[in-house]
Amino acid sequence: MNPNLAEEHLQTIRLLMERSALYRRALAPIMLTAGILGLVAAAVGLGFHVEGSRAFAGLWLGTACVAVSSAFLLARRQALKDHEPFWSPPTWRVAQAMLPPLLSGLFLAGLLVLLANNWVMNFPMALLWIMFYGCALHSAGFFMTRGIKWFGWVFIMGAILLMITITADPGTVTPGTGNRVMGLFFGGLHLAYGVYLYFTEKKQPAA
Amino acid sequence: MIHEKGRLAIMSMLAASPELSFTEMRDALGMTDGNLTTHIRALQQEGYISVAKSYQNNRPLTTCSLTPAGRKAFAEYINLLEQIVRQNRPK
Repeated sequence: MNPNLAEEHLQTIRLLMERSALYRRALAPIMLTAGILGLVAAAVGLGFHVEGSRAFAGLWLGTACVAVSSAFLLARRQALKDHEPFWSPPTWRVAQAMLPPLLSGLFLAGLLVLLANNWVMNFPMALLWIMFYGCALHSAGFFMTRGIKWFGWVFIMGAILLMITITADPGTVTPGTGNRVMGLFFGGLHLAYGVYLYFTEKKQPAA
Repeated sequence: MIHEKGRLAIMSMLAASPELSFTEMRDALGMTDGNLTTHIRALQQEGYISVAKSYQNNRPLTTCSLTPAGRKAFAEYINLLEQIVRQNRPK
């Protein structure tokens, strides 16, 4: 065999092996935890009238931090159980794919908070977060099971539909709308998907 | 057997995962259903991959995985390629 061809074959093999190593950690516990945290945060937001945009951003960013930390701990526990490194190549690719949209969402929300500390900002902030989170899930879906891409689309389309609905009748936005929307998407949707995965996810090893 | 482009691609993907579904492979490799089926059948006949048919969410699911013979043949093929590259590398 021609040495150039052999090198080309080796390169192709390396590429395909990397591409096929999908992230396969069980997502049901992660989704269920995120869903419960989302619902608790929405209840706190509505119950304690967390309505100023800074307080709203603080509540939900704090919840996001707890959710991300919990997801890391759950994934790490699975990795330890399977005697695999936590930062496996698929885990690394998923993290890299999710980071740009999440950082963009964070940055734009920060700008909105700086513009005004008013509950009016909460709804657009929630929509931005939902859209960017949907984009992050969709990007991660290229390195995960197929369902994640669809789950990302649910967030994106849901945010678009909500935006159209509210634009048609802006009077429906109240001080509690932001918390309700966040609770519905980050609490309700995660919980529903977690329950679905709990019953359907194939138990298999390897990251 | 393995050196053919399509079959090499299938073997490479399966070497990196415990198992892959038919659709995952088809989407990743951009092959048609017929083409992928032909290659899978050839590799299965050679004893390099095993095919399992099951149901997931009431839909048929076909998954493929490398057999020990397939893993060995793949490793030997990689060794051969590395040997060729090494031998022709300027010293």
